[in-house]
Amino acid sequence: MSRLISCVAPIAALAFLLACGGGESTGDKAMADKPAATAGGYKMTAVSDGGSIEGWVSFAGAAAPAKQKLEITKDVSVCGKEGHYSEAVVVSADQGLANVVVKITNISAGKGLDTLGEAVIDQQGCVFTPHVVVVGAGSQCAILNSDGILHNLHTYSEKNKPMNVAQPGFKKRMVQTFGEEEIIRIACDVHNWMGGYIVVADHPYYAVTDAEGNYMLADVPAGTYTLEFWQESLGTKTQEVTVTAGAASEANAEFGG
Amino acid sequence: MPKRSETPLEERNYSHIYFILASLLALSTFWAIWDMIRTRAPWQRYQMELNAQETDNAISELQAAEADFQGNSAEHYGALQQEAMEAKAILEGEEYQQAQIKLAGDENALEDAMRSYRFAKSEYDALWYQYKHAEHEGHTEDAENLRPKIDALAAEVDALKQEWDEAEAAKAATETQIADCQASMTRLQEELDELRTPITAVEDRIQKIADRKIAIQQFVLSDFVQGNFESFLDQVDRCTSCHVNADKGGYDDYAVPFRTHPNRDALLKTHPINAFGCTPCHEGQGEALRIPHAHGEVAHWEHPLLSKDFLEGGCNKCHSSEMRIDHAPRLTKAKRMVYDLACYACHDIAGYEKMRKAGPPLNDITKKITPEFIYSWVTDTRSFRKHTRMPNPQFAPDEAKAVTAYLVNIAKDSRYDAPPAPSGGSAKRGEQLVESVGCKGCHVITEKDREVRVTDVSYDVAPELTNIASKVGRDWLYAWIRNPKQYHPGTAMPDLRLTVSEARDITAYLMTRKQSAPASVALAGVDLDSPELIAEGKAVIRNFGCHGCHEIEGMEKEGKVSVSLNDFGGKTHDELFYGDAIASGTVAADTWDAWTLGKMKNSREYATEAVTQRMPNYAFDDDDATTMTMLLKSWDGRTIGDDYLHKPGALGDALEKGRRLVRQYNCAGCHIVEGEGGFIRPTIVEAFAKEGKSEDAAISATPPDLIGEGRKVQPDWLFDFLKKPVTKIRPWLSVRMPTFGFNDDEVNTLIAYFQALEGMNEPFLELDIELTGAEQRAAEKLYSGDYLSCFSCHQVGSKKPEGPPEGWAPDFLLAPDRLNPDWVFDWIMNPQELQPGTKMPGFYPDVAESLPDILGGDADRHVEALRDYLMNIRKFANRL
Repeated sequence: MSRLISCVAPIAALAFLLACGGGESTGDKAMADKPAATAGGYKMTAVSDGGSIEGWVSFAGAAAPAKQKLEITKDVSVCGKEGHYSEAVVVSADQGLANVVVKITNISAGKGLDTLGEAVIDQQGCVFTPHVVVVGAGSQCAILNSDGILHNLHTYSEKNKPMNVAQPGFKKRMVQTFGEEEIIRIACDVHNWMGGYIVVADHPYYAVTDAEGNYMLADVPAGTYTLEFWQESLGTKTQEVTVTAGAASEANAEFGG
Repeated sequence: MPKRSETPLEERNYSHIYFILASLLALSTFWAIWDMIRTRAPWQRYQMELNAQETDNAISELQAAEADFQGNSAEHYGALQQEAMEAKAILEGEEYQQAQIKLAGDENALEDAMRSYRFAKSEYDALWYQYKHAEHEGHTEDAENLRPKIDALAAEVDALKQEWDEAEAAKAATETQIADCQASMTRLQEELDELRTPITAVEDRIQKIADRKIAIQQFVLSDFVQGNFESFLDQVDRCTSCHVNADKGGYDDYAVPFRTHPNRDALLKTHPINAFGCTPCHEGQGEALRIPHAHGEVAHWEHPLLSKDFLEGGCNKCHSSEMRIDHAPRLTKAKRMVYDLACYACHDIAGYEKMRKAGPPLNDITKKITPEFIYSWVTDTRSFRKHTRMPNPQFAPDEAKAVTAYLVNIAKDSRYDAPPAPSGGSAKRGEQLVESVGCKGCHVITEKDREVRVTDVSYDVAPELTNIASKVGRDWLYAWIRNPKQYHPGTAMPDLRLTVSEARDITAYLMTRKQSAPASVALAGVDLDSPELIAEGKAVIRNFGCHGCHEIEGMEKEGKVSVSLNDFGGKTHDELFYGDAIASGTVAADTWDAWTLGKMKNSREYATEAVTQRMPNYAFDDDDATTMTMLLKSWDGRTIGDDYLHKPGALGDALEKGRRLVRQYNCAGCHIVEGEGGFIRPTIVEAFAKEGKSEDAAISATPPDLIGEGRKVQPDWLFDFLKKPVTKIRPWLSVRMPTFGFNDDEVNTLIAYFQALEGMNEPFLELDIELTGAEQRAAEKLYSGDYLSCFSCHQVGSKKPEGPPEGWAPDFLLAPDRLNPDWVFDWIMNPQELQPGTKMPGFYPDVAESLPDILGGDADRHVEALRDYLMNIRKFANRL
């Protein structure tokens, strides 16, 4: 009997081991490497008790750069020979910096994109007016031709497909949409001095400073955010700002100098 | 005989021995099974893991589908189920049962009716036969007797037929009644199934995964590679047994072996895995199923898996005839290097027969440089020009003296004569010219050029000129830039059609480009006329093979001085000579890879006192050395089955011939060709920046991108233009298209190349463009300032647009001879499509839609009118 046991025992042990081995998980390797789904984009909700961010962007240093006169070489009767100056840096009498794009870079939910309002660029006197315009991603941007001569809208962009469309004089209005968040430079090849920017926003907390350098972002849900200031020639600056419900926070920035 | 009980039976207890032996047996069995399942079959695990993971994913999908069903469809489903219950009740109801019973009765009745009819009919047919037979035999009486019987039977048959029809109608009516009862049930069942489809689909998938067999996956490539006995051998690849998702989309972010093949859409579409397998590109041991065996990383397997650095060499097995291989940038670079650096000058390389000599002729050398310069150059080229394309001969002083003596001696017969350059010239104007006419497309002239330059190779394709005045004299230089072919008929240096004053200014400028301290040279006291020294020089040149790249008098009959490279990659490490490199530790291991890498980095690496090495030194950096090693590895002498080889076809041949010519003349130095090149751009941006002009302005002042050229222009025009490129197409460019002095063959090669890039082969283009009256009227309107304002940018002969020339667009008067009308149509329709980034804006189809009064507002008709007018514009030029 003991012989029998001594023969059977190892086989039983083997069977046991095999059973355990068979049950061993093989999931320790590799298959778990699939990345988590990316977080969803910006969520639109109603903002009832938001605060606001207001501020003034200024040009530091004693003297504002001299206004650079642009040479008008074509269609002078429509464009006007005089009064064209470079808009690369526009500084007001009390050092306010115009055309600075201000945006919150880290906001995930807030008011609807439609609160940006309608984006309109006019080509008047062979100048893009305004120089910088904000348009919601996927929303319409109206492009007007008040000059009544041939212009073309040539965009320089990476995330959005670059385009170059003619807008002959008889076509007073056309409409374009841009899908991806990006700051797009626009130019007219017929009048090579013309230039501007279309800022495609994926959320509505974008502003452009006015002629005096002031801006305001309204209905911002309470919280701490990073603000980014972008100026076409002077670059980018960032700063933190905390917004409390029902109150106005101040965030000023200074470029150059 | 003793009693059994007294018999001394086995008294020792063997149970511990049995236990040990049984344990051993058990252990070895266990080990065998373990080895079978675990060690030898990792693929089983991978497949099981994949199935488990996919099942898990499917189960979560199933849960989501269930949740979705509960949320959205459950109520509707319940209502439908209720209806179905009712429909089912009908099917189980009295009426339906009765109908079923009736149907059975009807069927029996029908059977009976049919049978009775058939019996009656056959009786009738028999009688009818008798009747006819009697009639035929002339037994009229008998026939007459049969007649009433037949009539009676005919009536009976008719009656029975009617009974049959009635029975059939009754059965059909009952069936309709039953079908009506069933129809609503069927419809309801379909609707119910439809609602469950998202769930059942996932369930089916789970079932399919469960049904999958865990099995070895393999592809058989028949007649893939030639074996040792002429015949071609099959190759079996089982790689997908582990690399389970290689040819399945959607696993790009997974880890190996679960990952989808990188760039699968492009690569596996053209190389289907069932036809090309894996090892033809990747190497490894296709049949094996264990790592490292499968990867071939075991002793004596000659072709282990190619590492990332060498991977593109795999493409070369079948793509050896091509110079540019899509998705293989490193291989493409390697092929360019072989061409530029003229490896074929000393080595036999298949596909590189009858090639040009890569360097200048040396028969007139003393007219260009001094003996001292020759001496210092052949001693060490790189101390004078760090990035020179010429490999460094690194001659020892005695060799260098001898070579100098030989070259100086043959140049005594030189008939080349550079007339003295006109005196004067403004270096400042020369500098401006050098920056604007296009010299920097090929040459580095300032330190800044070196900084901003971006090219596709690490050496210079044309000589650096930062210290040119330390090398050549003023007279030679002037004559050279005025007419390079006079000194070197085969040179790639083109004629920029410089005027006397331009050439004088450029010469003046270049003569300011010199090295501060000229290299000190030891030729003093050397008798360069000594016949022994000259003879020794000849021997050195013959031995080192200088004639491979240079035309040298007295060397005309010499051949290639080194070994064939066609099977170099197939050499085993013991066929290679390591010198002292292993002992000294400069080469890490005695492997083919390490040897070749070492050789590429320093071609004299393995020289010893006893064994000299002749290969001139390319001294590649790590990246270039790896690139060349990769290519050499791919030349392993294996013969691949014909079915697997890439066959370029007529268009492919045209492409390859063209690519070599484009490379030889460095077209990509100025132009963007096949999406690459335009190396002159940063230097123009730099020159514009010096004058305070913008980058945009600089970019519009760069030579054109040649995208679509083959379809854009007429072949006849291109022929004339390439021969004599004097037509100024873009008057705003100061950079000039030079005259290369192409012969007819070369020009036709280039035309065929540009056309082949567009998939075309039309050396003669038929032109037949008629302009109707209606088209003319429409076009005149559209061209005008009130509509498309074409003349706002485009020049028409002497009528120029407003503003500075850099804002202009090409002269319309060139179009009829130059442009292909098909291209013109597409261009006006959508210029961005043909040349992304062009300044020409798109007008259509928007413009046509806004102008319904012109040609019905039809975009096609608008553009046709614009094109036809343009192709006939000369007729109207004087009234524009």
